[in-house]
Amino acid sequence: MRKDKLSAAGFLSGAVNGLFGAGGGNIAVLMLEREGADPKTAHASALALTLVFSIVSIFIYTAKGALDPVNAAKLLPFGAMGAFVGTRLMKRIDPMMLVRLFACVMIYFGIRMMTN
Amino acid sequence: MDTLPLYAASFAAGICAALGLGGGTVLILFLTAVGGYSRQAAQGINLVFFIPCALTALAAYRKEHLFQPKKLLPALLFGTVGAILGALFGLTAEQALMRRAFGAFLVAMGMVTLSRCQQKSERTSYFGGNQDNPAK
Repeated sequence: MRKDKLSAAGFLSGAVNGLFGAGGGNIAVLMLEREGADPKTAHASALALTLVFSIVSIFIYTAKGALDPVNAAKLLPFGAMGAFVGTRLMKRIDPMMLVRLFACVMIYFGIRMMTN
Repeated sequence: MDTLPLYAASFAAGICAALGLGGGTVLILFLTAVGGYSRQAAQGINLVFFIPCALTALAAYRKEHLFQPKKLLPALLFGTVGAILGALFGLTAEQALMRRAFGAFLVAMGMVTLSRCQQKSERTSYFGGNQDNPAK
């Protein structure tokens, strides 16, 4: 992958992640796959990038008083339990159907946010 | 906000993350729509929430040599600048504007996800099997 395109993918992904606190990984996966990376490599690379961008953003959110990392960390065990259940569920349900359903939910809430 | 719904939202977000459904979006939506959190606070919580999930997944990916940190260096450098600028802008911009922007982002990502699902299922039905994983 060309360095300039990789830099552009990184910049856009980082900016979105900092701006919305989420979504940087989606952008990175899309751009890396468009540049020819296979889906698994694109996902792994996007995850590594987003991890760094999230840490940077956490520092800024904390410095600006928008985040109390200690309080937020209290939610982590519940997320981990959910992830454990999710991995079990994955074997029993059609992921494609879930992804479609989730995309529709995203669009619904997105429209609500734009119009309210 | 009561702690129980907050824990329930975290649990649900964990399930969604494991299923590859974007647990972060679920958490932000719930915290803002139901929990009454400000957008910035919800986004901050989500960022913290993401760290252990990413570390766990990356440990597995690293064993499979699926990413090479050195090759990602330009993206990391420019992305860090992007993250700083994005976070600073996101925290200072007008709430209503950011809410609409996040809404537009959700719609766009939802559409992209649906279109990718469609492409995937067309490929699968055309070839009569799962082309991403021919073994299946």
